[in-house]
Amino acid sequence: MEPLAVQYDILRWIVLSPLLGAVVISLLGRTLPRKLTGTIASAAVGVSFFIGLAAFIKLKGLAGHGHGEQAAFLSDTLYRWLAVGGLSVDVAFAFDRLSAVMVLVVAGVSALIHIYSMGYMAHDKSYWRYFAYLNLFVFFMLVLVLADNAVVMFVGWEGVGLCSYLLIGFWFEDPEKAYAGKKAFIVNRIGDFGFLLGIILIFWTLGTVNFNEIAGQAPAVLVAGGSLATLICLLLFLGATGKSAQIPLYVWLPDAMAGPTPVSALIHAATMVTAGVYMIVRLNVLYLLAPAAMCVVAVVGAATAIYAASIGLVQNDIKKVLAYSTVSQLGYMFLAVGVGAFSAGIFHLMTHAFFKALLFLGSGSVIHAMSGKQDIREMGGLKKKMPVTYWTFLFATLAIAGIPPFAGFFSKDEILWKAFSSPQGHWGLWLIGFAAAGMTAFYMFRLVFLTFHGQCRADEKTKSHLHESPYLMTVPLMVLGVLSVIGGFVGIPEILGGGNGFHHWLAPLLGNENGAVQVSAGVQHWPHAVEYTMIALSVAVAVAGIFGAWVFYIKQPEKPKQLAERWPLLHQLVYNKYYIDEIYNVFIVQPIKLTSTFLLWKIFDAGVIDGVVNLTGSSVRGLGRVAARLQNGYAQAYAVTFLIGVLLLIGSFVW
Amino acid sequence: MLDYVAIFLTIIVAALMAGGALLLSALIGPSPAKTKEKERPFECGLVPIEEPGRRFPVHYYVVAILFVVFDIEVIFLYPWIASFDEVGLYGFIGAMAFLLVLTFGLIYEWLRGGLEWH
Amino acid sequence: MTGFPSISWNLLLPQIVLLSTALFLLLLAVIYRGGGRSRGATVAGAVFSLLGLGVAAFMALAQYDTVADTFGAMLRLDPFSTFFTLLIIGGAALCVLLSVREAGGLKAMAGEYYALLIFSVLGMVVMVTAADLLVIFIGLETMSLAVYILVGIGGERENGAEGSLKYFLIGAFASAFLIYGIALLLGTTGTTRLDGIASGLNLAEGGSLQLVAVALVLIGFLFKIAAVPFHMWAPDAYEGAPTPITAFMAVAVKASAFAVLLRVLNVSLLPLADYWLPVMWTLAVLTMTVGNLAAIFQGNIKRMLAYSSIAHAGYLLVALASIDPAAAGVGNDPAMASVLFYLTVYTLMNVGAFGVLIYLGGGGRQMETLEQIKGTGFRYPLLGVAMTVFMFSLAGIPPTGGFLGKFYVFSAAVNRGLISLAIIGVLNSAASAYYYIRVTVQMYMRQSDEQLPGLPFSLPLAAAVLLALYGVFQLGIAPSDLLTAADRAVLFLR
Repeated sequence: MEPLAVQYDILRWIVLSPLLGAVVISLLGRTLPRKLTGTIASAAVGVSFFIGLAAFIKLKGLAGHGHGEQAAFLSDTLYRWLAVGGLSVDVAFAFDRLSAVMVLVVAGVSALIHIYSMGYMAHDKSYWRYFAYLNLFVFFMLVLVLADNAVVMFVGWEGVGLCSYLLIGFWFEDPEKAYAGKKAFIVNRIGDFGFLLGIILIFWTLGTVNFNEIAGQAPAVLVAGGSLATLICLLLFLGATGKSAQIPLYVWLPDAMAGPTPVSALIHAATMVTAGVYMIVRLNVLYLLAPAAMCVVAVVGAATAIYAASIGLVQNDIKKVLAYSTVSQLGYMFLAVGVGAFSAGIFHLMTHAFFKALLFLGSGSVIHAMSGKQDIREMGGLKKKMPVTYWTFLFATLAIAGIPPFAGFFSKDEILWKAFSSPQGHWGLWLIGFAAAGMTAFYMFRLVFLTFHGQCRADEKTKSHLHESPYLMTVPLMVLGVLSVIGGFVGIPEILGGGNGFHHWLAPLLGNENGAVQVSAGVQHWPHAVEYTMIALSVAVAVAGIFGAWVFYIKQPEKPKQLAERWPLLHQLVYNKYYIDEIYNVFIVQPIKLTSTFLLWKIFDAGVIDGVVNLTGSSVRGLGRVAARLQNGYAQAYAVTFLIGVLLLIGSFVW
Repeated sequence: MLDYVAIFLTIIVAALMAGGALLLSALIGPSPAKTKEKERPFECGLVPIEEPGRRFPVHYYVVAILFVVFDIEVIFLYPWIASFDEVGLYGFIGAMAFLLVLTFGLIYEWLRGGLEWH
Repeated sequence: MTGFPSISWNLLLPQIVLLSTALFLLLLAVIYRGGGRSRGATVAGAVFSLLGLGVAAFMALAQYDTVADTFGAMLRLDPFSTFFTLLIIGGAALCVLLSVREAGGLKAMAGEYYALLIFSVLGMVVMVTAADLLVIFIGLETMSLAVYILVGIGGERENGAEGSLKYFLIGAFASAFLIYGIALLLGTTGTTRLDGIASGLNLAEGGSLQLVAVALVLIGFLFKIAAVPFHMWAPDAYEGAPTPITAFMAVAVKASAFAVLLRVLNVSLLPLADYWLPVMWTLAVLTMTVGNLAAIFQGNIKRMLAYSSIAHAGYLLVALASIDPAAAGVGNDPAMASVLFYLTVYTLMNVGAFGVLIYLGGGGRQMETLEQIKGTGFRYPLLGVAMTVFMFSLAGIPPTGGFLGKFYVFSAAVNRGLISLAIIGVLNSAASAYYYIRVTVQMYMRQSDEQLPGLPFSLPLAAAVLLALYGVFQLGIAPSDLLTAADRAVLFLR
């Protein structure tokens, strides 16, 4: 049964409002007063949020009992983008249950971060440029989540990458930061190439790029478990690893912390980096046809989760800890979608958006108070000076650590349970996720203890400046704090007396086309006792992590140093992030450079051409002279290359 | 392929003749001692008075090119004249268009000063 | 007695207009000769060039739907030839706009500059309307001779003369192969007519000599599009030429050569598709890869764009390698239509990028290397934004036309099952982002070492850049009309 589509014309304004904001600010930003610029930007995103809310209510009203009504969506087609050779792509938006969640999360968190930024960036000289970029980002992000076909989604996908690049390099006076922006952009291009190829393959196998039609036709056209389906899914996943910072393409995210902190909160924690997860859930029908690809997704997710968590254990830069934590949490989401627990992945995406945005904004508040210092070894005892920041930060930390009843508990617990119990799951995956959860609790409380507890280790000058941040910054913190506490209640599992409403809300969009086969079919085969045990275990490991951090950083602060001294190699290895950046540099970046320099320059130009020049004897100039004039090779050498080409071409024809 | 045998034979014979002449003179010719005097160029036994690669005024080339252009024009006009009755008005217009374009070139060169010797 | 063969002169109006314009400009050049009046010569030259191009374009547009043979079927008019006529004239007109300042600096040669430009456009238009290999050759030579001179025009720039000479020497070399190939085809198939060759091809009888002939003919065209390994001249010629001419070569010369290549491959050489398709595959891979790798290491932006234009020829060769012999002339083949679309987008973004470069050089300060453009993005905000858009479009990032062009080409390849070729292509385009982005990084994220001068406003330059900018977005956001036109044009290739 085809899902019901309802025309809803104001949908486009969800997307267009931030674009309008960006245009207005970039045209008038120089002349407008600062407050007004920030207000326009925030209001533009606010409009998106409220239209999204209206659309959500309308969508809810459509829900009947048939599958078609439950999978119903609001749609708004702007115009036909291209129609050629069987390929027709509309610029069209679709607001279904999945995009509803995404729009509300993206627009809501964005609006809060816009407000926060008005305080945080108040003294920056490029204030208007910042808000223009930020609005542009929200525009592309909303295009991404509202797109009703893969090509429009790709436009949003590239667009957010572009804005991310602009914002990471926002303080471009610092070459390091400009470099970080470039790195992010180029690493992402590698992923994008996979995504693009995946889209093209989808089109030529299914004849459409429209998500609804893909979902409808894929099971009939693609062989389940066939190599084509697997290839498509792996290519798409390559795109996801780039955008969502998974192994092996995660390297750009920690460097991306060079951008302003609210940007890290918005783009590199709450929204853009989750696009990969969203994309896979959007195309879940394809993934269900490719179990091998799902297995890859789950394994990569789990590996990233524990790998990044272990790096997070020893970082000293407050934002770096949060960056690796983000990579790790994204790993959880991929673990979830990899084992077929799509709704759990999106659920964690949502709660993570709340508490991770809060953590970043809180760290921004701390950095703001610390006059720009980010090293947690120089902090401590900030609890009294910044009570609002402290308490909200603590809530978010409890949420990410998975302590009930905070938001993160429900989503993370569901992922761990599904990793264990779903048909695609495995106890090994669960064990990795379980260990990573303990590490998460440990490094997050290490962060809290070192930053807010104990004695203040800052110098006198910084100390005298310590202050709580202005209301513009603390109010968004409080709102997010509330969400971090209650955000999980929409998805309380049945076993704990909840209705798991979140799962049921998304369910009509998951599984195969008639919705009959639910992904989590295997759940009921497990006795309740097992599930209770699992919940108890994950809470226990979180508590253990917190206790460990308390022992190490409050009770016996000398302990970590001793450990580092006892296993210096291990500490060095982890502290230096397993030397991955260096390895990439040696094995990937340098070879390409060398190939280019040596193969093309030295060997091809200098070797072949010079060699030929000398052989023909048409030139008696010395090699040194030739080397100096490398860029102006000799015409006769060109002719000889040409001739070789002619011979090869004729040869290939006649052969 | 048989049609081309003659061509190949010609190529081979030509190569043998040229290469053979050089080879023979190298083999059986006297090999004089290489002295400084022997290496120098000469004109009829005399030491050359000036460099052999003398530079000509660039105008010489311009006039020469002009000559080639009109030379070729004449070559094209011959067949037209020979078949004047057959090609009729069509041929006449074609030839005139051809001449017109060339005339533009001539006018350009003239005005540009290409025909002035100094 | 043949009398007056029926020649539909009205079908030749674009060519006639172009020829008259060129001849007129030549006279204009001598009227305005002498250094003191060079400004008058360049303004008058530019105005009359645009006028001539405009009238020719109008004539071409008026006969857009005409399908006819003329001149004893030596020329063929169809939507395909008209599409390219318009594309070439449009590209040339943009280049004229770019030229106004540069040509003014040529002093004595300012007038001839435009005359030569229009002569080469005439050659191109003849090329794309030709239905006979000999006519193609005549058009190609008319175009080439004019461009050889344009590369070295002025004589004051040392590397201009160098690039020009190299281009000429290697170009003559290539022409020799082409004409030899035509002769061999005439000998083995009995004709030089494009449609006659297809029926005359008979491998059983002509044997390998026909294949040699075909290879030689293709080489003549591959040289013009700077396909590796026939590309060696391109960086020198591109760097040495005046920047508007560099743009002109990258855009119009390439477009006309691709038009001819498409026509010859489809009309004459379809029976040999099994032979040339794998060759195109190899050339595409070589051309993309060498172009992109070499571009990464260029400090000079003109030279970088030269290598980038080689890489783009490679992407276009991907489309040629994806031609479906079964679809020729019967249904629409996305591979062929994608070439037309890509070339149009490529024309716009390349002209735009060169336009910005020329504009930046207007302040009396050289702006040719990555080092020199540091910090210009903030000093000249509009130029910075424009350059960023062109670079993103060249790198193939949505929502610009460059993205759709690449998307179209690569999906054509996947459509024919050439997945590995598409993967190599997309990887290449991912790698190319590196050096395109570097330009924007330099413009925005580095401080200039010295005070950047103010730039004098130039209406023609601004108009060209804005037109290109508009076009790049138009083709990225609402490309339907062009896609339809391209789709329709390739139906007439037979």
